[in-house]
Amino acid sequence: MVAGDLGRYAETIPFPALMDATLPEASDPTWQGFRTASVANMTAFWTAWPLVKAAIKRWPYEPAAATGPVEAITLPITLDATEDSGSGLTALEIAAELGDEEAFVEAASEIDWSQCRAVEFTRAVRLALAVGAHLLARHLAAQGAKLHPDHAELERMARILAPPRVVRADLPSVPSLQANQAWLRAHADEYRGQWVALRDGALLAAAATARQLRACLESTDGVLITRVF
Amino acid sequence: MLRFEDGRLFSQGACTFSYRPATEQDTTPRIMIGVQIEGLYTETAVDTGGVYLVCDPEIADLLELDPSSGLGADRLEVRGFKVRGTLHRVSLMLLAQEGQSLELEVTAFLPRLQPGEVWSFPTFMGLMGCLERLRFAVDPTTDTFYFGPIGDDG
Repeated sequence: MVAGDLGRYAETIPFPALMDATLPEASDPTWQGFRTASVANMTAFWTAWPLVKAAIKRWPYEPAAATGPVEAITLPITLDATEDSGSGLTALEIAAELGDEEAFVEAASEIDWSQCRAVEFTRAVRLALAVGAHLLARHLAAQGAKLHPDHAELERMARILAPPRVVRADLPSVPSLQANQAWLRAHADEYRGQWVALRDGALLAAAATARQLRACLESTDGVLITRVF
Repeated sequence: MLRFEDGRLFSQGACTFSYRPATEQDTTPRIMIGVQIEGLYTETAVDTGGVYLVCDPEIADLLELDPSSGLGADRLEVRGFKVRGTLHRVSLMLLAQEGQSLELEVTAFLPRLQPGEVWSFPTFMGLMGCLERLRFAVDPTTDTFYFGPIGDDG
């Protein structure tokens, strides 16, 4: 791996739908990075994908036209036509309903996000989280917040899902860490399953739950609170 | 501290880790280090295969974060289990025994267990959303965990 790939990947990947097609990056397989490598794990979703897309296109506007194989498809109960303005969000709903992350990412790649409303971004972010597409959720939140800067929920999503940030790198060391670890090694059998509070390698209190333990302490400053395993 | 060939620091802090199963059910040892989450000093497992800082629900309870300030996650897969909870932006401090401690702002998942659900994991730090902007290294001969921020070169 080229040094720095991971860091750059996390922060600088433009969202494909917003790429300028005239830029060299447009032909870059960036979007492929969201996809898992194995095609062998394709699920039944893809077997039905053309039919699903056909159903999405028609549903619910032309119910009478649903004849033949399309009739066999039962659309997920979470579908809500009021949330899909033709953007393709329904395809995301279906993929999420099926729990198919790969199909979800594929469906997301077909959406023109530059035309999406804020509510569609927020819904897509939630669906992405539910299906396990965390990096996509981050990028959707960031792009949504950029396109809809006055939307409070998108701003909150973008802030929460943003890459980690170093706040301070000059904080003092804590030499007593090792003493607490030594106590845990020495007494694990006695306190297994309990919550303990330690300071400088000495036991302050033990309890069945963290909340009960907290109630025994005047302060948690400098006190290690952990469950003993 | 660890340095690059040109003398630049790779890490700025180091701590001893415990190498042991993180829960009673665990059969595999984990790297456990001391951290502060929103100022609360506790232990976490290093889990580079995971995402976010995933808090033990009892630790989450002690943090007393306002659920309305978080992002509700209907379902998040945690080690094969679908768990409900909220995502928050929190302060995470990696505590150094040598060198300097490091404070980060990370994404944390605070599980909200349903009646009958049991949590059988430690608090753990995943890569995405938590450790991804750090340099870190493990020396198994001394049980030392090294960490440092990626600088302008990262």
